[in-house]
Amino acid sequence: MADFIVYATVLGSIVFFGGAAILAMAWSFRNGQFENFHKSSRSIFDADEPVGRVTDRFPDAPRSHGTKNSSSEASHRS
Amino acid sequence: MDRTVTLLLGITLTFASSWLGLVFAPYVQMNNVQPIKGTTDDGVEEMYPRPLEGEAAYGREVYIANGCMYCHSQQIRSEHFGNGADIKRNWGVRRTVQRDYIYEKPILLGTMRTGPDLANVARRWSGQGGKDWNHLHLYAPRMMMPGSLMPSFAFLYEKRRITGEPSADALKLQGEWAPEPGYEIVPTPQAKALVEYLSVLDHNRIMLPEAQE
Amino acid sequence: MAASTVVNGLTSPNVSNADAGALAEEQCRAAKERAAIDSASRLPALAWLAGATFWLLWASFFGLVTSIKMHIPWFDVRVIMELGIISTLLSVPLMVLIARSKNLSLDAKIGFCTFAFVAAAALWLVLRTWVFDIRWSEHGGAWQTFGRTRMTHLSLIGYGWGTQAGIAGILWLVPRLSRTPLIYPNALIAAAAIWNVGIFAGVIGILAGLGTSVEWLDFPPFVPPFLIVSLAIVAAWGIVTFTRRQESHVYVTLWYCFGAMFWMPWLYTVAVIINIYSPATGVVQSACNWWFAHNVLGLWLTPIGVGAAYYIIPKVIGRPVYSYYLSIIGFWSLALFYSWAGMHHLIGGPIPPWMVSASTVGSMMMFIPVIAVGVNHHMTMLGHMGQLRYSPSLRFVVFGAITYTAVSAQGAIEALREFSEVAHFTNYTVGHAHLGAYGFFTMIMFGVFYYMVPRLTGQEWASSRLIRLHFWLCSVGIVIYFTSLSISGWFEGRQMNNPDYPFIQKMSNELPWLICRSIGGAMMSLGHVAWAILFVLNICGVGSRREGPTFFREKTSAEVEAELNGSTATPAEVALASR
Repeated sequence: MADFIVYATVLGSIVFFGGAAILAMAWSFRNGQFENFHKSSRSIFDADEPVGRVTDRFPDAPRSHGTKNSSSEASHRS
Repeated sequence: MDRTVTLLLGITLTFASSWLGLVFAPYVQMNNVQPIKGTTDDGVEEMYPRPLEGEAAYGREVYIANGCMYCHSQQIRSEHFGNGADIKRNWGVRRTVQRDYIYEKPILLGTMRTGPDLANVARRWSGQGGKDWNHLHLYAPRMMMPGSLMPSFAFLYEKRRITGEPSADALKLQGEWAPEPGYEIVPTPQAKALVEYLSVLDHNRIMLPEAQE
Repeated sequence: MAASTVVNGLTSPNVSNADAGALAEEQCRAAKERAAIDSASRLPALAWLAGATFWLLWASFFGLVTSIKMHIPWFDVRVIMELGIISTLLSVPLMVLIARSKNLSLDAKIGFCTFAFVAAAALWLVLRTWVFDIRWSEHGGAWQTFGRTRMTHLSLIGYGWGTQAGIAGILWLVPRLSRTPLIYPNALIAAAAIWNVGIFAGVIGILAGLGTSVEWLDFPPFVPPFLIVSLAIVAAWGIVTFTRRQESHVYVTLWYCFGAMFWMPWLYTVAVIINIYSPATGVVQSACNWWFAHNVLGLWLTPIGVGAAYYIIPKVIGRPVYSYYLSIIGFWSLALFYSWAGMHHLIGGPIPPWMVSASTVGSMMMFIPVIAVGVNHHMTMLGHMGQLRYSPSLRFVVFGAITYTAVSAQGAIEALREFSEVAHFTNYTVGHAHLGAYGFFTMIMFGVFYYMVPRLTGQEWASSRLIRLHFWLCSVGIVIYFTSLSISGWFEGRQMNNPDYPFIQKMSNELPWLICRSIGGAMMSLGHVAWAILFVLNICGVGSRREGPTFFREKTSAEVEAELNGSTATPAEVALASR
């Protein structure tokens, strides 16, 4: 019985997670995840936090030009 | 497309292989190791290894509960490893192998040697003298081993007022470790069990063919 | 770069250019969308983080106790507890007075409160020693024996802090990168509750003598079901979130997070079955044990830490990663090779030699992902090192990223047999483990939280000084810790391999290094207290309200009024007045 539990757990999880890894790889190929690295690496930037904008500072730090906060100004107008 | 399939198969195999290699294969290879008949140092023929029973088995639980294995390993390494120091230090007469551990649940190989290895501690402290030494050492490590960093396991002992005759199993403590006059230190059942375990702990009881080098 | 120049040049309110208007609209929308996503993550992420912080303090306490007990074996924890409780009682009235004062800055308040506490502790130390002559009964009691505090420390770091910190990070990172608000917040909060009940029961169990003495699986057998259920909830949430994501590209951080969320429940369940519930025969347990224990670091904490750094570093300095291609290679090679690496913990032991050899090969292959990650993190930072002065999260994350390269290279070398013959069974391994779990993972997670928490609570950190203190205490602490144990461990190994060298002498030689280790550990623990204070203050809304693109909100009427009046009120006071 103990044997069966171990066999089932180990083999079962190899099939399940190995399968998951295959599916994940296959999906990402089909989906074009590996196609445009330039664009992909920029997917974490937004219009209001574009490439070139620094987004963190110590709370008491003076604002440098990099942290200039244009979007909140924009929002006050809208 | 067929290249993708090959790649994917390769990846899965690599990924699953650590499971097969590090969990499943050892399971298949080692899970059915059986005890064998052998001759001890004293010339007695017996089955080895044998599961612990009674007080020693309880002592092993005390060993586990107090995390002894975080400072004491229970494995003797080959004479070709680490300068063969394990054997030269007289911690064992041969390396330990899979068969030595088949009844250990959980296994207490350990990964740290703040203190010395205990795989065959019964060989070093044997008989009643060994038991007495172990009790004193557990209660007051620095009385027996000046400079030792082992914690005192005094909580496994009981201090009580002597009524009538002193107990036979009272510890013979000296100097700053001795209790005040009229009191004595006696082991609890846990301490007795732990010492019993230490006095049967011997992974080198018989020579095993696979441990020959 | 072109886009950002336009943004900086044209979005002032005075420009009535149609393009600028559209861009402003777009910025506004992006900021609002991100704020909405962050706000959906708020409760679950903070719940896990609160648990993590709570257990971090306890883990530090038990770690410090364990460390001190190694060089003062008769050290009695009850003295510390007594000191802590009595000085708290003595100093709290003073602290309340200080906190209520209207003339003091927040930094000054924190400083005075600390001083009050230290003074109370000193006072009590004098009183108890020379006036009341308090002595505890001689022997500390079973619960605080070295073996149990060590099990408690490791379990709390692994499951109380590490895992919860990782999940807190995941719950913020994954929705952000998927661009979809977090779903099922209640299930995730329930998972946090289940997890913490499990941890609490486990700690009590270990201290009561129910620990299993299986390294990394020390919790008593009634604990794993709690943890498995909780992990399963988080993993299920991960799947559903993935299917609902709005961002078509799966950023590399997401790969790492999803990988981690699946590997961990799997590893943990299998390990618990083979080691605790249905123990395999003899040495198989050890193989499985170390396969698991190493993979907790490699396939759970490492992906979260590395993945988070892949997000925080580019995001903070506003520059995409150096080579995105390498980052993807790094992820897949980690997934393939890391799981082989654990067997060197058993090197020389009674397991088949081929397992150790295979494991050594796996460890060597780890150079691929390590170099990929190292090149990426460090090359991305190149030319932006100046930002380290201004960004708290960047400091922590870059420290962690540098440590990751170092600790991984060290780990690969440690898997070599010649090296292990000396380093195995010594404090060298302990130093290495701390460099990984602390110098790398914990430092990166602190960095993530310095970025994440203000965006969740809308509250700035109360004190820059305290953040700096936290950073320097932790970073100097871990360097002292690692250096002293590595030196000590190397000598221990050399001396143990010399059969004529007396064992007891080896032990005495460790003493000065163990004391250094306690000093390093104490600094790290103090750093954690600073972190806990910052976190609690932030949750309680002390400090200025957050402003800026990442937490989008209208100015409060009080702030506008203050600006109009040219008031010199500090942002903190404005924030308080606006409540």
